[in-house]
Amino acid sequence: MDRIRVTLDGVAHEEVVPRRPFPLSIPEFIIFVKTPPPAQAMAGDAAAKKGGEEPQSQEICMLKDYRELDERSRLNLQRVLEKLYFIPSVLKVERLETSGDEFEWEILTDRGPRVFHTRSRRQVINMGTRIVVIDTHDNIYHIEDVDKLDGRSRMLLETVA
Amino acid sequence: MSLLEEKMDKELLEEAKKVRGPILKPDEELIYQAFCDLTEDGSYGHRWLFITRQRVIAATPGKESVVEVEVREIKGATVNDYTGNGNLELNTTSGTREIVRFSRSCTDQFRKAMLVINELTSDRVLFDRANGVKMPIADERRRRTTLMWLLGYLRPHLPYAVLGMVLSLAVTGLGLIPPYLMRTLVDVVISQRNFALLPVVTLTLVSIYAANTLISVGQSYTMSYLAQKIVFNMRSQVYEHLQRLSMGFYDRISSGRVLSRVTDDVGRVNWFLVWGIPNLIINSLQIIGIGMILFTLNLGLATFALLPVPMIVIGIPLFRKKARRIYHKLWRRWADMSSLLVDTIPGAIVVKAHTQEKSEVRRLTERMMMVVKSNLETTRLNLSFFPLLGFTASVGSAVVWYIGGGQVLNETLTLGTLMMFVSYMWMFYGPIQSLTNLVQPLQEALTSGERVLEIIELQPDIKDAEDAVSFNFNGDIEFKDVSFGYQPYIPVVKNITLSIRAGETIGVVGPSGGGKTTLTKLLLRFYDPSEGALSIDGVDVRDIKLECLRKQIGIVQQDPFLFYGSVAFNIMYGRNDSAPEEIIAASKAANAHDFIMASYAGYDSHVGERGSRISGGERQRIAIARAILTDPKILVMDEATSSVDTLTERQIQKALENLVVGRTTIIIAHRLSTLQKADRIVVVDKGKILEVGNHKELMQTGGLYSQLYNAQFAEEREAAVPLVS
Repeated sequence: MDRIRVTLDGVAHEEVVPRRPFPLSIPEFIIFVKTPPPAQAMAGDAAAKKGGEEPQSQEICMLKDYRELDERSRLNLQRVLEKLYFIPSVLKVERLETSGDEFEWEILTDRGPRVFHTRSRRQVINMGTRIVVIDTHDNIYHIEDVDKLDGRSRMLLETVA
Repeated sequence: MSLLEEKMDKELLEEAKKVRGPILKPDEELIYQAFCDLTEDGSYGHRWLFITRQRVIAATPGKESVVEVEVREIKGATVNDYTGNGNLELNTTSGTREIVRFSRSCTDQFRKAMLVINELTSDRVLFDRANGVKMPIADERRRRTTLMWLLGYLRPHLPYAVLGMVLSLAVTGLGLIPPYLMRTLVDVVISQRNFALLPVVTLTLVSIYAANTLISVGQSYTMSYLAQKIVFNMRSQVYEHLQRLSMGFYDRISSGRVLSRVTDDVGRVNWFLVWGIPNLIINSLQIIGIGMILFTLNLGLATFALLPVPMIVIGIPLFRKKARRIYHKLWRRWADMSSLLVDTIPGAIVVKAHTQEKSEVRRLTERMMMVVKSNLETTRLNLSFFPLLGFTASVGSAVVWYIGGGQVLNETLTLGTLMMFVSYMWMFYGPIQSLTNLVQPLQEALTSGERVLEIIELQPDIKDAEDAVSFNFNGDIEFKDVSFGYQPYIPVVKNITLSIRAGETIGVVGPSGGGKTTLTKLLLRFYDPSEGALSIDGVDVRDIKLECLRKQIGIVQQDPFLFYGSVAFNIMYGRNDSAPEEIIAASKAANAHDFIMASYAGYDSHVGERGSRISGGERQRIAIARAILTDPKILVMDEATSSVDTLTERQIQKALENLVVGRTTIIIAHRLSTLQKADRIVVVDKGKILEVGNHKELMQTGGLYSQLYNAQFAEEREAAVPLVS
């Protein structure tokens, strides 16, 4: 179930996809869109070259902060968002070392252990105490609050962030 | 200001004075003089050109005969550029004659001379007077000012500077004590078998070393803290200043050179402050302290101890001179090798396509061999000098042993004093050597300091007038007889007169290099016109606050520059307080929202190094969104669609239609199809306006526009065939 029904001013819209324009910096900001999202990774350009026009998405509305919705709506929305935006939280950094010009990470996330690579400094984005890590395949991991991690993890992170 | 103006050293100015002295009449006013490095027969030498109100004179130092032409006989002057040299020709009533010949190093000066002459002979002025007619001035700056300026940075941190000095003195002082204790050890403890004093002497030694270690740590940290603070201040001052300087500065000085001043030169100054000055002070103190001890201890021995000093003081500078040459050679060869790598590795496709792998390997091997040879050469040089230096010092100490030993045997000297003397003597050579080594780098650091100071003292040529105003633009633009050239003697834009009504969309077309972009740069006041005036809503742009002016003019360039950061960061660049929904609205208007949402992290996606992760068309639309977000009253699109394919262009076109409503829009375009909806089209070529009118009118007159349009239309028809398949 990755579609929802949105009722706006008494009008019900079916098959709506919630999308985050700023998944990393403002995750609570949501746009509700009616057509299915195009394939990942800069598909706009590829689509333009193949099919001509870019996919036209019909926008229902924008929501500045979905956390202000009522409990049931919020949970429903969250369930879909978690599927569309798979951004595991880092609980612990087990190992972090350089191999060639890449960093190899071994981390424990709320979705289990994971090993991945990052290539340059820009793939580790600092936003205050929040850190977002993007691996070489554009997978995203995030650290809610660096200060809440254990000492060893923080020490390892110091070398890249 | 030696950075931007030709340097002319004092000697040359003196020479000019001497040469022109007997030639000029007392009441003749010198307007311009220029040095020329070729003589009449085309060999290298000195020759001078003098321009007065009455005459143009060429003269050679030490020669009586001069070439002179009366100004009233001159119809005009031209500078001809030939290979490796050029000449200045005067077109006179009696024909054309060459007045001076010069190598290309002097060309600029003679271009100016040409303009000065043309100004004298006609009333048309096409150049910036201030730049065109200026006597070369000698570079007056002395090192002393640089040094004073550097020391000025110390002022806010004076307590630390004093603390650092005091700690340095303490370290030096403490370092002088151990040999003295050794004398006590030998003369009192050992000779007189004084058991009680032994622990006292050793404990004192330990506590001195302990104190020395502690104070050294404190001294190093204080000095480093001080230097870091100073360098931080200096770097931010330079950077801030660079941001204030006008575009003209960036045109004249390549960004590489600017960068090197901010990084290398400031770094060298840093070295000077952190390492140079403290060492200079400590070494001098050590030399004075130890020297005094040596001479008061034993005058005779001290003279012998000085034996190796000339070797150090004379030898090291000689060595450095030679080493400099050899090391420079090594650096050059090293650079040769790395430039080959930098060239051929990204060019791998060309190398492989031409099967040149083997020859590339050979080329690199050759250069690597050169590096090896150079490296060995530096090793040989080092080995030929330093062992010799060490040996000389040892001979000196052997002499001291021989004579001092004799004195001990004769009981005119105690054994302890001799041993103390020998250790002081060895301590004496160290600071002399490092002081001699410091001279050259200190000079280099001062030169770097001068270069940094030059930038800081540079005044931006474009800044707010004192009574500059701010107001909300309506959008009327008027060019009134505007002329301008990046170099004062080559006008790019000539006598442009054009008025644009608020809300109008103006297309500007014409061959590249015709001055289209320059017009927009003048509008944004990156430069001021050398003649004429440019006004917005009837107010001269020079009287409008720069911030007010630039905030209300949005510009989308041909190759928009995106900064390292997220898409959102780049769109927000012109207005960092924008709300997320405003960013989205601007992107929608720029037809960019959909492709942004399709990327891996939406507006938080990184644009990659210089925007390389996204295509040209996408980059273009991000730039358009950036311009929309600032909601400018006047919008300039500088070939915003020239680097994209037709489909993308259509998308950008759609974005534009949203954009032009309620704004004055200037669209510079290469593809004329972009301009069919423009209210008026201005055709510009060679800095002049050729035609003005709408598409239909211009097609009817059959001028340059219709020629360009027909040529492009034919091209597109041909190109359309492969597009279908």
